[in-house]
Amino acid sequence: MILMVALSCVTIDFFMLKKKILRKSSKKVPKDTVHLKDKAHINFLTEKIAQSEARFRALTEKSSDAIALVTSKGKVVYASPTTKALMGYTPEELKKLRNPFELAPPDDRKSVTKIFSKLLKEPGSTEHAVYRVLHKNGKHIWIESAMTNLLNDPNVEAVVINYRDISERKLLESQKEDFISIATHELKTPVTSIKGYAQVLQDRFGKEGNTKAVALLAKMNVQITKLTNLIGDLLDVTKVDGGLLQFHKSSFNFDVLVTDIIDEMQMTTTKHQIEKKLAAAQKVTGDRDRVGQVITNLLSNAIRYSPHNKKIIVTTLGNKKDVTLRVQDFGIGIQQEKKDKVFERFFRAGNSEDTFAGLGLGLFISSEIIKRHGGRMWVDSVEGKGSKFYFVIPLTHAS
Amino acid sequence: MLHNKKKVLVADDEPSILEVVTLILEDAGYEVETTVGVDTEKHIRKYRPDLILLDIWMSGMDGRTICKDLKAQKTTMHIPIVMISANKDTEKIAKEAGADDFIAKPFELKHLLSMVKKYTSA
Repeated sequence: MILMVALSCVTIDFFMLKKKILRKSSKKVPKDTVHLKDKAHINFLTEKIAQSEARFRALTEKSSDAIALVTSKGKVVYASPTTKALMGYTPEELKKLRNPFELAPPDDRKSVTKIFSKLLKEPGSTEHAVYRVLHKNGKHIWIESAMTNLLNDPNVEAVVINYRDISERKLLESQKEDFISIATHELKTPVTSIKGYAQVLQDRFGKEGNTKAVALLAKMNVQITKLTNLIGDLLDVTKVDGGLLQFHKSSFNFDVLVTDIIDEMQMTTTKHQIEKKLAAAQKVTGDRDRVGQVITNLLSNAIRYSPHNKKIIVTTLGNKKDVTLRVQDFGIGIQQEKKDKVFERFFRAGNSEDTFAGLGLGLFISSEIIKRHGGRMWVDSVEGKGSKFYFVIPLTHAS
Repeated sequence: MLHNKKKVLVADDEPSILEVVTLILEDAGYEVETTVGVDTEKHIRKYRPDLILLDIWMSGMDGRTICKDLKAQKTTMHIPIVMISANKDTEKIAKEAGADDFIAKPFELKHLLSMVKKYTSA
């Protein structure tokens, strides 16, 4: 796009200069006797311009990204030759289309047209889009494009679209997602049997009155649950990426859920004492398991990141619109500048040398779950003093 | 009392899961028959279980197809089916296939037993 603008600028400069010289010349001498020096100068400039134009044209046309200029109506007025290699259509064939998105399947056409309309409203802005188009050979390819609205730029007067084929990358992404999904399933099968065997043993030892063995097996069970959750996180993160996280709505009592999770988590720690101040007193419509997953994540973080302080306080509040949960710990806390990053994927508190376990996926998945419930998640923290993690979700949320 | 034992058929392609579920259910006083999935429907006609625990993802057979077929036939449609899978979307898949309920892997012993009790005590 810059190339096109540069090209136009150079061309315009040249014309203005040529006019100026001719005008200047015509004043002094008749047209047919243009000064030899001027003529040589014009020839020199013409050659320079031709060189410059050839260079910029080569850059535009030989670029592995294709470039097109499109009117506000979506009509293609220019397409670089790379288009043929990309989509199978020549620039001329592309110009005959009503608009370049005609080649996209209906769903993709809808989404990219929406992005294009948004772009038209803001001169100078750039929008990115990823969509499929039908190649001339009948196969769909994935296109990634950057569209810039230069309709108001007198040198361009078009929307400039840079686009490239990302089918290969898309294929790799979907292979990766499939792989993780299969790997997760494969990992869960042996874990299910191990958990089952441990529970059978626990049950049988219980009946025999062997409390020592029962206690050990209970601990084993807790560890297996941790492993299960880690495997679950791996699967969830691929689902978040693919937009495939599914929710099963039901109506549940928020405080009861929080109590259940606290009781469960209290069993995993002998050191920490989880205090509860529950006053939400509301029923929430949402995915009980997923919201529970978020609370579990916040509590296990509070335990993990407060190795030297045993108190954790869970507070809930509610009104007619929403419920709020707060998990407060008195642990290592988070540095001020890292506070916004905690909800990003792969974030882990502390330095990399520190030995805090975890994949760095929990809060990323949690915040996604809360977002999808129409709520939000945030944190207050003082390094060395502890953290307060909050989320608020509406009692009901359409979608 | 022996003849009063409720019969549960467990279909899964993973032998260790079959063993674990059998141990749990037999300890709790159920009669258990297992199948690795391929001949599930033949098994059901012969064995006439009170409940079927059906894995969704079995090599060679799709639990969903088995479930739909069983729920479509007069002789088997009355048998409750609980689908089991490591897939997080087990609930949705189970509903679509017409199953009565679902259990996600890995399951808690208590949860499995209460589910089996619920569908065999009717």
